[in-house]
Amino acid sequence: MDLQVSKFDPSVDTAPKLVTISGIEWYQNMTVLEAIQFAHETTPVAFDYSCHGRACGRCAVMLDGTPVLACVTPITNATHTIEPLAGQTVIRDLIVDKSQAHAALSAKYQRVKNPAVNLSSDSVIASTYNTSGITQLSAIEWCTRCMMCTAACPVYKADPSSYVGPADMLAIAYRFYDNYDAGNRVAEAVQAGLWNCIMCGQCDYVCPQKEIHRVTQIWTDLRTATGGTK
Amino acid sequence: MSKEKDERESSKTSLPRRGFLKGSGFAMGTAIIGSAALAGCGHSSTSPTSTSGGSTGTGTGTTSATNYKVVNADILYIGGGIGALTGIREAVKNGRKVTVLDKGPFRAGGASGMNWDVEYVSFGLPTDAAGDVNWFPFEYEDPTLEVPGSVTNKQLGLNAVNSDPNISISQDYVNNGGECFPRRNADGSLKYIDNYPYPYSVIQVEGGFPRHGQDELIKSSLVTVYDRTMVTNVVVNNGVCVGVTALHLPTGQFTVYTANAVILTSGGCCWFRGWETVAAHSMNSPDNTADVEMALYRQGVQIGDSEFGAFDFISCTPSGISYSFNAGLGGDGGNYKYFLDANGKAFLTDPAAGYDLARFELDRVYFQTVVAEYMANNPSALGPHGGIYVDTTNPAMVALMRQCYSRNIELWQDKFDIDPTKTMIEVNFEMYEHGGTPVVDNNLMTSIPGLFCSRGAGVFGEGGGTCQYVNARMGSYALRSALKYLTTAAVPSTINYSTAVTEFSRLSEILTRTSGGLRPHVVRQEIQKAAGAAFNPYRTAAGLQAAATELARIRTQDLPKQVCTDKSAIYNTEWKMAIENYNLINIAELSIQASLQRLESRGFFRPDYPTLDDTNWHCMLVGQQVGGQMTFTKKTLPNISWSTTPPSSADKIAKARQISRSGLPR
Repeated sequence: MDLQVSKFDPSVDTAPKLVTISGIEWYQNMTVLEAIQFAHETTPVAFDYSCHGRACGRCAVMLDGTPVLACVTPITNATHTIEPLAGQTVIRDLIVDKSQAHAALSAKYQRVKNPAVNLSSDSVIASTYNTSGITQLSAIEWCTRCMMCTAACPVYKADPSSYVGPADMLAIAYRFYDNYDAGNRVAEAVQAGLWNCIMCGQCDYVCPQKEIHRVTQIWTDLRTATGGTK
Repeated sequence: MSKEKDERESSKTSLPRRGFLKGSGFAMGTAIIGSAALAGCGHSSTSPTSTSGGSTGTGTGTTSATNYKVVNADILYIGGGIGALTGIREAVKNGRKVTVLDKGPFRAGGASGMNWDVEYVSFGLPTDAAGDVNWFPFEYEDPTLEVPGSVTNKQLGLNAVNSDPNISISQDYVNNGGECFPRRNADGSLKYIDNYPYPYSVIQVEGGFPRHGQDELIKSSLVTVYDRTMVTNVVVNNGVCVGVTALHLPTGQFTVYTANAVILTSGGCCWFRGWETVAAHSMNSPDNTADVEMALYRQGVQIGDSEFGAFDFISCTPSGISYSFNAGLGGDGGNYKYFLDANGKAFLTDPAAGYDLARFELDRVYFQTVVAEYMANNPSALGPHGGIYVDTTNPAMVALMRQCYSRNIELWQDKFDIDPTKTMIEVNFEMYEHGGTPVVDNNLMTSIPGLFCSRGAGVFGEGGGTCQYVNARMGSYALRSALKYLTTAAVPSTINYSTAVTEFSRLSEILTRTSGGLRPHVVRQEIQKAAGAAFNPYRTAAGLQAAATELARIRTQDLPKQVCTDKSAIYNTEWKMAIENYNLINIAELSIQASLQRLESRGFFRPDYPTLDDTNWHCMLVGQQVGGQMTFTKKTLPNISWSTTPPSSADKIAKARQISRSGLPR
């Protein structure tokens, strides 16, 4: 199997180049991450991963133009192109810099505490919790912030100023469902471009956490909550 | 970057993956290294093997040992995960500035960065016969039960618990950590797991996702995080810790962080044990390579608990997702009925074997020892990857699984065309935690004043590493100890950077070295395979000795021949691996040698010393480099004991559990 791997060292290169690495022995259920590792064992490729199990998000790359989480994505026995994740700055080869993206996510995930709810009381936390959004809340917990959904989003690609992208909208949605949050998350979602999403579902398609239903559930819940106001 | 600018160059160097530097591949390998070395002198787009492209690490960046930045910090944390979160919150409440160095991308590094559905624990509070609560969790003297405690520093534990403002799960994770605990009953009440028998009055809550705590942490302007920053050594002036040396991975920039107090809260190193294709035989992070711990070891600091690791069973195939927590399927003592060998035999419930079935669920080491012994004695009953099987075709087994595992059934069906509900899965031992940390006093301070370690030796003892709630509690205590230290510590007015320059020279040499020919991943996998063959719940003397011999060979012969093909300073993961190998070899050797030294079975099983020997071994085993040699000594631990008589009534247990839930009145 041959891989075309993007190589880029900003200290000497002005732009990334694709380099062909040949002779990788393929086997059934080999993952993209394994292929990258074997390529690296032939000639250096800088890449990043940690959990090897769809939890940390660090191994997200473009496989033949589609975002994939390399660690849980099998690769077929054919020539493939592996490039760094779209939408983020490339630091080196397949490694991108998500620090700005993650800082923006943190800002949205930070809770605006509801002053009427005493979260220092164990009995308050243990007691009834509005379960209407529980399924979605549980689902969004699995988001690993890999930024693949945003990489796949055609609206974000066309104009990132018009829409924060699915990963950021999930963060807003998380606090929308959170009983203990008092922020106006509906207004925030609209401002973030909720109505500019074209509901194409590319985000759901590339996301490796199948519990998360953006288009059919989460974006729909947010839109319903606006009462139709754009 | 845009696809339009692709320039495709084909490579004629079809090197076999493993044969890179062996036999007939050697000449080719040399040529590539030669070209990289040439390129290391400056720009080069005319290397003889330009078929590999001009950007195969030809940059050099800044690797001069004297070209370093200095950043001044107040309280410096090494590691920004679970061990740091509680402590940093307390530091901020005390108006201290906190600087956090994280080796990985912040919020995606180490354990917290795995976003992994933690089962948070409010620790158990065993009560004495009078029903009064004893504060040290899991503490009792019954040698027939494996629970962390028999070689832990109990005074340290008591000190931490008695001053901990965060006993309640809710306080810490929901109020301060931004979490929701979305695993609720139908009526919205929180699902507690609290049905363990005495002496476990443990409360557990599922659905913990610690990234939220990291989000909340950086709200404060007193907290600054420098991530993708690898700490490589500790700077000591006149015997006092004054800071650390670090490498900023994205740029290759050397930095000295000076600090009034340094708190080491990095994760346990499991990455020395075993190797598949992309993973060690561990679900822990490749970030955790005991960098600072082993730098301290090389400075002569005592390291304890190296022989102890925490294990469980996880799927070992397909290789790409083997030994993975969030993509794998596993089993443990509570699933003993569903463990089968390759012949389909439920060997654990075999009446002829006479195992203590009730003990399987509570005594993890006993369970693992039994299984490991069976595997060692029945090699023909093992699967193609050397493992045994968990019967996931049985819905009862699936029902017992935690959600973080059972959700992977769909992943396997969709992506890997394997249906675990129709095929049993092959599992093998996975090590998720490990000891091997600096010895600390009863306040978590190491032998170097000003340097604290939340996972210091004695914190978890034979439990092998630390678990989440102990890490959180000790991280918090480390901060309180540091604050106390700072009330009287004299911080030096000038810093001598000579040892930092020496350290940066060492790191530069690892990058620029040209002779030897062994790429870092080759040396890495040698270490992992050698240690992994022996470091299991069941350790034979012969296996340990073979590992010790091979590790010594790697250290003396192969590590000096390690050469980075990639000479760039820009996010050079090969250089990073090369640096880490110096730490992995140390911790691997400490782990194997300490196992050989401990002549009993405690925390793991040795067939040549099959029983617990409290007379001779109720102690910590400490490894220390003396005169360039690894030496071991025994260290007695403060002993605090109390009655193991169960409390007189069920309501006293309930009282203890209630306190576990809601915290002490303070």
